Amino acid sequence: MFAKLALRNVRRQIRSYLIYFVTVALSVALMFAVNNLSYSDQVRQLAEKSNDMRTMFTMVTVLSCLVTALVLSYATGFMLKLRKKEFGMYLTLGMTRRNIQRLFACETGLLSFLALITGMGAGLVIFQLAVALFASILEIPFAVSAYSPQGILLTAAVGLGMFLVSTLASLRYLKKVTLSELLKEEAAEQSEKHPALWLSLSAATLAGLIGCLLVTYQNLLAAFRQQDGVALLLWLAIDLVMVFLFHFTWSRTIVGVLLRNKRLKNKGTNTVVLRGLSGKMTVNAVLIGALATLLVFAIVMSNVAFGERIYEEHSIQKDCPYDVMAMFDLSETQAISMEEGRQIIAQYSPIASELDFQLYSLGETTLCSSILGYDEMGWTDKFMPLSQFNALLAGCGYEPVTLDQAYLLITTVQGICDVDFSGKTVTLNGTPYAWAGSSTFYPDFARRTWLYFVVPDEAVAGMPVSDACAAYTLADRRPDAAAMLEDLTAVQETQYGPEEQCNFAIQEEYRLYCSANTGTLIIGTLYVSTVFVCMALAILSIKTLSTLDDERRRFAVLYRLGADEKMQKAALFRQIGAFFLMPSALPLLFTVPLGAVFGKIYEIWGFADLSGQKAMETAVLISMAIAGVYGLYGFITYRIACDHVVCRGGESCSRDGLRP
Amino acid sequence: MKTLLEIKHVTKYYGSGDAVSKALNGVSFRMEPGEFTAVMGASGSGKSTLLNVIATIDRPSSGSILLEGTDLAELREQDLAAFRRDRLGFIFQEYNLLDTLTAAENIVLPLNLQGRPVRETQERLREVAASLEITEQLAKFPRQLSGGQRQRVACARALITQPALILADEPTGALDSANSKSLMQTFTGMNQRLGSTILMVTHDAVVGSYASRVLFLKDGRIWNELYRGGRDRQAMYHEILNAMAVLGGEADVR
Repeated sequence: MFAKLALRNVRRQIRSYLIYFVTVALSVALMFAVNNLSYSDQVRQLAEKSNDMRTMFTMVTVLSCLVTALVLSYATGFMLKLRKKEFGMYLTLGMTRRNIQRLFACETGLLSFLALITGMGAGLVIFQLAVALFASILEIPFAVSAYSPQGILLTAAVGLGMFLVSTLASLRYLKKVTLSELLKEEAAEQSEKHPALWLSLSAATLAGLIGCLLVTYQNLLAAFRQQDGVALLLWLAIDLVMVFLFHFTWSRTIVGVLLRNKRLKNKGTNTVVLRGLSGKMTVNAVLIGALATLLVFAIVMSNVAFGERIYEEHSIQKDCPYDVMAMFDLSETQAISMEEGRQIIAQYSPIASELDFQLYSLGETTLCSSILGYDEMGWTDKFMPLSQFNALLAGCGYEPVTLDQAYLLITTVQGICDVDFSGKTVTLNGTPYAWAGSSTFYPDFARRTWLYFVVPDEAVAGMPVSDACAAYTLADRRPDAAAMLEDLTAVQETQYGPEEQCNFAIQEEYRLYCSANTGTLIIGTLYVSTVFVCMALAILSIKTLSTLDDERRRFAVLYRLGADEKMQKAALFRQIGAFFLMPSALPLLFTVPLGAVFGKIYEIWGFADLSGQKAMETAVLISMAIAGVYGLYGFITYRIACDHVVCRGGESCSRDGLRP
Repeated sequence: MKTLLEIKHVTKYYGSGDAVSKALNGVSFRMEPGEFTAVMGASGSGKSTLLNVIATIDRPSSGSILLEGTDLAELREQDLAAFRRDRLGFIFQEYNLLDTLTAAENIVLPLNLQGRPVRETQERLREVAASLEITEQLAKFPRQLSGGQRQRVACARALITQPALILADEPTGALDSANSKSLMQTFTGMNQRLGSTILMVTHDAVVGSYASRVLFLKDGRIWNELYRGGRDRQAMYHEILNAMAVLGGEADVR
């Protein structure tokens, strides 16, 4: 009997339950895909360089499950309160609380079961799409991947857990709530309380948010320059709190401020729209704050993931500009000599070309001494002749450098690049050389040194060679990098005991390592972002659709007072649009400063050619994608609302609208 | 005097095929400016349908409705909305105030829809609130008002646009007798002092007795009509009771 009644109720309440159903199904689908990725042997082989893959996927799954469980608890509780009069009526008619609890559990259980099945079905497809994305990031051909039993079981278990968490909270409410509370009408109007206080708080949170963002920006620059991220993480957390507080206070204030503008208020249906929003925003201030925080988090994380991808594409070319690079410190004993290394490389691919070059040093610290901590690091002035540097640049497609009785500092560290060498001259072979500048722009040819100085060739004449280096271009650009690296690595006795030593860097091995990490990060971030955005949208939709019956009565009155269909639709559009926009406008606007910040970070990392435009393009694209999904959800909600709310006259309007 | 409202042979059918029911069956009557007419009849006699077709919420199946010479059947949907906005005022049994708006906001809403300037809106609000004695209640939300106050706010909303015709659908249906009496005195004042033309549907003989003319509907037709003439309200009330007794005693007499 309960199953039949539950089924009938689900059918009857399909409008409210539809969003709930879609939300659960989508969460399950995404979770299914990530769990299968996490446990798939094939994917693990693809990403064998990334040891953290499963840990990362487990972390994002746990985080997303927590958010989803909270949202579903909220949605279930919300729908329960929406129907409290109905349950009150059941109690009045003689049903016991246990009966009602069973009925509600049956309804949500039925729906969750259907959503679990649908979600797992959709997850089968999403998993393969995720594998395809992963393969594309790793630049390897896509092959259909097998599903993992552990992944399927974990999804089912977590799905069941989420259902239990969300249902138990509602069952507890049904056990405790009194009959009078169930039958009591909710007050519709929301008069503003302490408007001046809220306005002051809003202004304070706005100032606080701007201040925190500026401090974070300074910390961000410092963190990337000094490689210290602790303060930055703290400020990022404070920013998220400020985003929440800003939205919380402004949700309670903004409509009140607009309502004080008589000209605006007395125009057409504005009063109806603003008053409708006022109540909604005040009641949902916490929710709006939480959603905005989730959205900011999702947008920032997506930008970080894609920024990492852009960085990686460029950093591979910069960190290892040739297929294989060798660098031997001649003061150390070598387990594998350069010639032996060359033979090993040739076993994996014929060597198409080889560029030999050297670093020279007198063991002095005339220039290095300008850098703080140089002595602890044991740095000495190392010089590369200009002709060799330009030959290396030419191989990478860079313009040659010219130096006239000057030296150029080359480094990969922004902090070193920022040191002022003006006035610092070095005399080599009797000729003084002045500082021509410092740069992080060029590829890292001498990968085991932090810095070196490029000087005209005659400056190093007769100077001892400190490091012998070579850059190889291979006929086969994609050799078996893992095996080659293993062969080029040997155990060497050092003062700290036996250590693995490898004087070679393989570009393909770099690429696989970076791609596996970035792939994991991108998929993990996309997953979290999608879950966050969908949860936010689900809540906004549920909130909007749940008030349609009240809205229909209001719009029927508007119709009688002379608001035609177009006017009503415009009013509804503004009302739903503003409600959807409130938690999303600022997060989406974050795109612009975020793009600028990433541009600055690329600059610090030495990708001057990347700064600004590429970062901005990525940030805008991410925001547009989120805005697109957001707009789609909003539009569907608006269409459903139009069908149920807009009064077009005739029998239905007079019966449903005004004679409830 | 020029006729304000002319109803000519209006019929209204609901359903189709064998399930057709005739809600209005050739109803014809006229109203002159400043008239206060009540429509009475048993449940299902067609009172609300008649009000709905005059209010342009429903379209008649045949016949014509002319307001100030304009045939409402010839107006397009958009023009009908403008017609309701500019020429009609509504008062309902359940008040139908918007619960999210204050009393003042509810009252000025029709003027906002007309796009009137703020100064004019505020002036008219002051006038109408003073005449209906609800100035103190303007900042309150409907939930904070008594039934009688809510209905007076609804009256103010109907009056504020100075409509050609005010349509009232069981305006005292949700009020107790004291508030009903107070509201009908308000209606009389609106009619006599402000010259409003009122067409009111009611079950209640006491309420009907305030009108200057009463139309009795039965099975979708006008069965009888009474004019007050020189009679006082008490006499009119007895006339209505007599008419209803003859009508079949089906009406809900109070």
